[in-house]
Amino acid sequence: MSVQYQAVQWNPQKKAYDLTLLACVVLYLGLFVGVGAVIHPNATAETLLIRGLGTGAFLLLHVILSIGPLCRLDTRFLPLLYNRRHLGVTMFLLALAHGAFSLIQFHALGNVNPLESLFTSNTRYDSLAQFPFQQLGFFALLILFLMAATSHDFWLRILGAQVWKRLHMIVYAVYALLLAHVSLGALQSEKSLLLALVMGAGLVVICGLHVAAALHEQPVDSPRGAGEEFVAVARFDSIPDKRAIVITLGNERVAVFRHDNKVSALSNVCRHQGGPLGEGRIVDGCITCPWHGYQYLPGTGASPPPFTEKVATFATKVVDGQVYVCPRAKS
Amino acid sequence: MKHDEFYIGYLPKAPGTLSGFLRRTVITLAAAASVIALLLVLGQAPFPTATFEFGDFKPWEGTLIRAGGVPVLLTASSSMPVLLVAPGKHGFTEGAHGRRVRIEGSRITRDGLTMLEVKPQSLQAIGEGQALARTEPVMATLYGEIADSKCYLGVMNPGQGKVHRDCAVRCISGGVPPLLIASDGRRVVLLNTGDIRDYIGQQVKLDGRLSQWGDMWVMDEVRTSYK
Repeated sequence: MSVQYQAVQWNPQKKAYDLTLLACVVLYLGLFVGVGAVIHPNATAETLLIRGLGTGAFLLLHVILSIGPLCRLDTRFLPLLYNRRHLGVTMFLLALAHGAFSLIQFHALGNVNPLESLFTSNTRYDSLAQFPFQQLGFFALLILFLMAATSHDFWLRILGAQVWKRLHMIVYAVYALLLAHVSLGALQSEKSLLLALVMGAGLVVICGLHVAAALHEQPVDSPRGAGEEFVAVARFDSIPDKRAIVITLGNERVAVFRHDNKVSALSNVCRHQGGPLGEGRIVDGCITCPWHGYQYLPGTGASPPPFTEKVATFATKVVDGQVYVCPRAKS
Repeated sequence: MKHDEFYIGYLPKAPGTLSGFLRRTVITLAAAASVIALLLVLGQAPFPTATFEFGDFKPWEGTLIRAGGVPVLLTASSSMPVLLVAPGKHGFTEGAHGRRVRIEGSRITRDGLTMLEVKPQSLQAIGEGQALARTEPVMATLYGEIADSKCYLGVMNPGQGKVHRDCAVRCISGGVPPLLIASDGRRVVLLNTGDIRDYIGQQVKLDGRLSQWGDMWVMDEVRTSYK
């Protein structure tokens, strides 16, 4: 949390995260280009670099898309989510380098502008086998740029959490574009089944994790309390101290926290990036979001001063050890 | 709850057990990325032997022939004409047909064919040249992939196929001679092809007048259709 914007609010864990990420990127590119040069001595350096950067970016996108559902399935993965935006920006930079090298390699030094060449060299939109796959990659890169450029909290504040979140959900459109980019491009030239199998396995992992996470969340999403003044949600003793259970009242997920022999109910959605507050803890008297550590006071739903974020709260009562929550937020 | 530790990113250290889990996760991810990198490297199609002596300009001498828009150099040392191109994705347009010339060029070679990327302004006319020895053309039908001769012969590797298609279109549009990678193994320089942009980088059928310039196969008045 911060009251002023900085390019990156460095802290020891972010530094460790980014150094690990950098090491993994260097390891991947080193292996791809280095081993590639040994196994394929006739390959040109630029070809190996273009392929290494492209596959590296696509692999990183798989990691990025896996983190969300992994965290839903096992909270121990949450530290990977803490700095996920840096993964996204790194993925964009790899994709940008791949795109720039490809544009120079395939379209520069010709009789027309490289960008004009990109859109006029192949216009076989009527053929799947001959489809201009490079243009799909270009549009994916544009969207990635949009997301990388707006990834900072400054834009999150300007756009609002909901719009920002929706904008960044377009990453799934990027994934679809890149699947088509690879299927209609590299897989048409490279006849090896191995490449298709690796890409297919990636798709299965992404889809499988998302389905598993959705099934995992299903019980929470069963709404209750329509038309009632107060809804019985749980036994007081069943809620662990300084933690919460999550229920759905009407259309909204509500986190019901127990703290100091009291209960508080708040919207489950963090004002920062929509993180699940109900999976957080009460730390130093504040509900703490498990994603980025944003904090709220249990009684009011307001962030402690000087911060100004506030989440909706719900009236609660405990009768004979049974916790009740009013399904309508306090005005 | 089994794993009860709570992570807050801006605190100096992650809880102990969680650190161990993260370390194992990162090692697993790095190992998986390494295996995937190796699989993708191994899964690539073989790269053919082709050379481009980039920036290594050497002097060449011979007769400049311009027939059907394709410039070649007839040398005394070989019956295989040497194809000529300019730097970048451009055809070679300097010099007059039939003149003996001296040029400087970077050699590009593959499949017994040689091409020179001619250093701009390096051409010097030094006299009258020899005539091109060519066979009588016969009507023929060939099958194969149309590529641009410059990339195919070694400037790019691979210089053919779907991924390279846009580059081949740009090179051929810029005047680099189109080359047929024929399914019977021959490499055939194409003249007077008309607009072949939609046929590049895929398997096609070509009808035309086939002949030989020295040892080089040439097809003129080419009509292309999908196979």
